[in-house]
Amino acid sequence: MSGLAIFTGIEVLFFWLGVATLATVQGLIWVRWKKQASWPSLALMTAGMATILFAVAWAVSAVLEKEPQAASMSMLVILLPGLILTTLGGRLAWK
Amino acid sequence: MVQVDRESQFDEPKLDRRSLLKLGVAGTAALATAAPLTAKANEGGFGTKVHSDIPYDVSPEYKRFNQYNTVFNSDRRKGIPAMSPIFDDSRPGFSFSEFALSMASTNLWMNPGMEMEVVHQPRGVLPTPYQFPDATTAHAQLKRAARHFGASLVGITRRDERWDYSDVVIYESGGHETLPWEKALPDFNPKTVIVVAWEMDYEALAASPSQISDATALNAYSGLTYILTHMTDYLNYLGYKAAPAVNGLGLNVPYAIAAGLGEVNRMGMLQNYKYGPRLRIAKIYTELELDEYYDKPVTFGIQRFCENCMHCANQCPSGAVSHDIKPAIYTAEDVKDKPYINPGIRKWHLNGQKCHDYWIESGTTCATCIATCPYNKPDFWHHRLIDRINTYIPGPLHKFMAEMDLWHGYGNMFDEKAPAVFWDPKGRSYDGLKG
Repeated sequence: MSGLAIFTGIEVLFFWLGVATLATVQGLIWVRWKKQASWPSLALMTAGMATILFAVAWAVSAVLEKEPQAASMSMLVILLPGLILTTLGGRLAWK
Repeated sequence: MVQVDRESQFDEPKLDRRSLLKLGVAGTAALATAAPLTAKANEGGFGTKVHSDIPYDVSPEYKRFNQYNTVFNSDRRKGIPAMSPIFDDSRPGFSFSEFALSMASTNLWMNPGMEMEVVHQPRGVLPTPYQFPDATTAHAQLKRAARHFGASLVGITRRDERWDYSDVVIYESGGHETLPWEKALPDFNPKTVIVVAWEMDYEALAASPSQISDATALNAYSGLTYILTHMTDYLNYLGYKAAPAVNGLGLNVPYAIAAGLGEVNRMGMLQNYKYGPRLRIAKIYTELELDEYYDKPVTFGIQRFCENCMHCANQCPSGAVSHDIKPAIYTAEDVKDKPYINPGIRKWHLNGQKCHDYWIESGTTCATCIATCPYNKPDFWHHRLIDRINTYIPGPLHKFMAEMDLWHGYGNMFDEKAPAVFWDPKGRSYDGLKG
């Protein structure tokens, strides 16, 4: 559960969450500039992506604490709404 | 003759990299040396209410509890032991190795380095007791010392006679003697009670009821014994009398609440913010006085949560935990056939007799109620987040949160797979090579 036998699982998780958050922000800026996405669609995508990132953080943390059922539930309860919001936002942006 | 470059003398100071580094080092050193000792008595945190006195109604009829009436003592008089551990290699959590682990965990508790529940005298290194520069320093150093000796939590409160036993039971050479508190500890007038807590292992407790969960509870008592003996010696070296007590001399839970370590929960136990109920507590009485510098009781919404949750009451195999929605004050009439319940304080009342009967029947010390509590979680950020949210949300949502806890796979007791999780060597890094 460690990165390079130096970091704890939680440290590795939050490092990659930081990378994913930066990529998400860059993606949203790209959608706004290149695709002229409307603000409502951006708001939906932002909410959706934030929810997905939260779900990933929750699920990995649950695996790290050896509670796999909590990881599965977080996929169902948090990730799924995140995917729906992101898809809706994306469809609005690409209209 | 030294020439002075008058222009450069009045130049703006340049902040090159070397100067910046120097400034940084100097600034850090200045901060480190100038910062006063900032340890503070508990002032609570975001969403936490601080109280000046114990935040529960105490009726005027409340009387000090007599240790003679505890279930352990009344059962002992009937010939029933405190514990009756068993082993059965066919049952997960009850193998002989697990039984041995549990028994070995009692070692220090049963064989402490100094006698418990008696007054230990100053060492006499100094002619008079050591005077700390001020109460703030005394408070901070006592807490640091307790942490140094292994305490997960430590709080300091005034001695409050309400929470001391009216009479103390002393077992000697097969018989027993019951003495009033003041006679049992003559020439001792403690001003301060230091309450320490020891965290029980999450995975071990998840295997409750079993010999593994017993092992972590009993290990906690041994750990507390280690802290108490060392803290008592620390106080004795400082020149103060001290009396260590794991479960004796007084009531641990109200003292822990008074010392700001948490609230009382449905089980009648201490509910701490960080560890939930996954703690064992003990205390040291000492004559050292800290003026007004004591911790204060705190509340953070546990009572409202317990009103809606009911996990412990539902999971309790003996039905000892109350299903009443609200806590209540019992009168002497209410408990006339239950001498082990002390009336006069608003709380949920545990049926200690039913609880102990199940201990003997199951061959364990159970702990199902502690393990199933939604506040009993490993130290991960998402649990701290949920705990914080629970402090703010209204009652009905607590019911939902408690239900979600079960859906997420927490709090399921009598889990035959839990012992395997406890023993699993994967990810333990016993050799210290991995992060």
